[in-house]
Amino acid sequence: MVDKKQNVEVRDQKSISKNEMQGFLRHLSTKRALVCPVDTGKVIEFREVDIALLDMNQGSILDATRILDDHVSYKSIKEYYFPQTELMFTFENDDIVDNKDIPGYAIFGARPCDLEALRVMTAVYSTGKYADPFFHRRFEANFLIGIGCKNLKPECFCQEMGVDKEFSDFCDVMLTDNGDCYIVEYLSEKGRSELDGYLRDENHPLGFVSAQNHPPAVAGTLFSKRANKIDEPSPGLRDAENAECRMQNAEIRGGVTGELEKSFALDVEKDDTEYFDIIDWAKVTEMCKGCGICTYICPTCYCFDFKDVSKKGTAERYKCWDSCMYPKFTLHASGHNPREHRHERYRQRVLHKYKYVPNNFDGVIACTGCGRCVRSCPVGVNIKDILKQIIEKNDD
Amino acid sequence: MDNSSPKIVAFLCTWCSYAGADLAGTGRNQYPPNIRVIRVPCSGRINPMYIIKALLEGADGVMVSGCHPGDCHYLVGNYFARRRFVVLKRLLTAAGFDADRVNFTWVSASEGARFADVVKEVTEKVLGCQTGNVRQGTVLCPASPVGSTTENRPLSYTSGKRDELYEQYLEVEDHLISICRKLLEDGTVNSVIGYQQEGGDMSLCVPCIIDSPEDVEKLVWYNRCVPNLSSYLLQRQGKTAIVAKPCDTRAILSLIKENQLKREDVYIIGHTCYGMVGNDGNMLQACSDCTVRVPPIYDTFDGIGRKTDAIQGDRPLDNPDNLLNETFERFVNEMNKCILCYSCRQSCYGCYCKTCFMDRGEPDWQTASPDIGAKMLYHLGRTTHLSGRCVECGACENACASGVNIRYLIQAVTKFIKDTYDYEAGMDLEKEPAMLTYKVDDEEIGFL
Repeated sequence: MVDKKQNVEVRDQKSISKNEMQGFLRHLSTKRALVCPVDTGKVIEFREVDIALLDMNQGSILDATRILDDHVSYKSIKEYYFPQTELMFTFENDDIVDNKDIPGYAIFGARPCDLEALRVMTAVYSTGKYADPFFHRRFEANFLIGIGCKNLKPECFCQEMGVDKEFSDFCDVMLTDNGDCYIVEYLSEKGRSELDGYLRDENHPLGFVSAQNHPPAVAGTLFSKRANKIDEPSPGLRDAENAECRMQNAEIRGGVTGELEKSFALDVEKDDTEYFDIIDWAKVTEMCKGCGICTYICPTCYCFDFKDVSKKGTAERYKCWDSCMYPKFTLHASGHNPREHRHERYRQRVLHKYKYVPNNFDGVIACTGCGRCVRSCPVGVNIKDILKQIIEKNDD
Repeated sequence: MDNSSPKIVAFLCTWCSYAGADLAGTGRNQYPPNIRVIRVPCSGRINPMYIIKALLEGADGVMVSGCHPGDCHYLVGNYFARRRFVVLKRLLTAAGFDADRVNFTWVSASEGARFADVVKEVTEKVLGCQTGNVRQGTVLCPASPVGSTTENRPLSYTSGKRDELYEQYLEVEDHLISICRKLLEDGTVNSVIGYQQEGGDMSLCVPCIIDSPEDVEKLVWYNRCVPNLSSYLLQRQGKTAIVAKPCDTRAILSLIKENQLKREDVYIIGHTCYGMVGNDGNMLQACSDCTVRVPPIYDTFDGIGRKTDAIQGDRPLDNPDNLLNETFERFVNEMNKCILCYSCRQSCYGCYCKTCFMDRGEPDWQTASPDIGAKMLYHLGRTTHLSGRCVECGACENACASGVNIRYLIQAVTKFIKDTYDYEAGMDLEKEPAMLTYKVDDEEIGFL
């Protein structure tokens, strides 16, 4: 089926042909390790791609990866900002030596739900009293290229969470699918400075480059921009002088979507305890196996634990993912466990996302409707149904 | 690694081999200084996890020695140990560790010269090992970044909707619903564990618990009833009916045998099964490997006319691809996919421990390498715990959202146990489990 929105004629626009992706990604991989969605056999996930090796084998990036497909990866890009295990520091002769080895990744193809999830992570990890330097450093080092989704996948509920499936401004560069090419939008100074030299070069073999009609980039890095935004929204590229360019892109995407209504938001004014018995948590989670996959693949789940590893003459401290679905998560040294049962742990997961984070971080809901937890649950526990039940009870 | 001096951890039984080592010293028998001795009360005391942990922490080899069979201070400790080591060695080779890294032998207190010979032999063998070296914190076989062309398969978000095949199952499903209604109405059971169609976009077939006769219409039975339901039985109070495929039934039988469940507390509605279909529309790997079509035990058989058709064939466990691919690279590759979410553990019927060894603080099994080392430890450890207990339902593989195919390890071990000790889990209520018994004349496969 041919989509009418496709193939809008784009002039004097920054665009990049889908045939030239290999060159484009090679350019990106000069400074940072390139991360693309690849097929690992059963799932699609973000993995490091060695483009030099690919060139050497005369392989095509389009065959080796899934960069052009309209899909949602099984895991989010979270692990490139908040890895599953991360060395924090080493103890050496009574000294603490920080781990300064923070790699930078060029991440290609993150979806708007992932980008908005990163916004939540940033709110949690980069603002307030407890800023996390590891997250911050990775955030500064990484280069993030988003792509809008064309279609909703089964179990996606980004629209209900107020996330535009085709656009998010929380990245360095946003691409919009336009048939055989992508429209390129710069959303940060970093995005412009990295790609401008590449795209601006008139003699570049890609040849489609135009120096005109440059969208003005936002001052400062994405990170500082976001830090302000929690207090007062900065205008960003979405409006201001870039209107014309934006209009054209919006036409491709099928109309500017303003702030979508968050239809799955809970009433955050209510007292926590009112939610404890609002539905029969034990009933809705009776099939839950407590495996924790929902928390591991969730783009906004950010809980972690420390692990000290002693070696001969030295020791290391690691930051590792933790999951509220595990009984050990809240186990006290006394042996008492305040969330002993599976349904209590699941209740914590839901309320944390939709109630506690909004309470603590100015209404940011820690769910972007990517649907991963629903798709990956081995026994079909569906957070959407549970939310609907709560909201219905709330309305009564 | 300094190739000239491998580090070998030696677990010696205090009554024979440790005394043998002493005698080698007093007798001035020369042997290479590569072993680090750990004294244990009996070779039967050696948890296979010790050996796995030693290898993952960076030991180049492990040597285990106890009293000769028949001479055990505790009479039978080394008979049990013998089976354990034989099976462990099969597991480690399946995972791609060089077979010569782990060495088992018997040395008595009077065999000082033999002890020296054994250490010489073990050191030479370990020096010759090629694969499976895990140094502390680093795996000497890093995942290669994606760089070669891989074959693209079509993206599918296919749903679990009922397809044309479903028609064939309608008769059985109606019968199932009437059985369950009757059971609930006359109070034979408190609840029924079965499958229902989930209401979401993907319309998956998911487990459900029915506790009133009005809800029985929700039950479905067709070729997408994938999850193994048996572990839900452990959380139920009172008598529960369960819709069971042959693999679920084997799991229930094993749970009964392991005293986790009482036979009278469960009402098994057994079904014939010709294999279940995954969300991509293909038969699941575990199901195509399986030929158990009829449940070994049941209270009601709901096959309707199919029972006689079903053939209990030989099970082609030795998938030739698996045997060829028992490489360390494959193991590491699978480990790199794993994210340690423990879905496989939670879905497994056999993982019912209150606290998993991975969650224990004391003893702390975690390795010095918190990423891939922990994953290897978990998968190898879990496989040793399931040796001779796996019913090959494939729940671990089906639950894994990362697509880790780690079932090939336990598959290799299960086949080995079937061939060597003639035991299959969950097939016979009377037969003694392979790892809980011994024979005096058990073969010492792979021993020095």
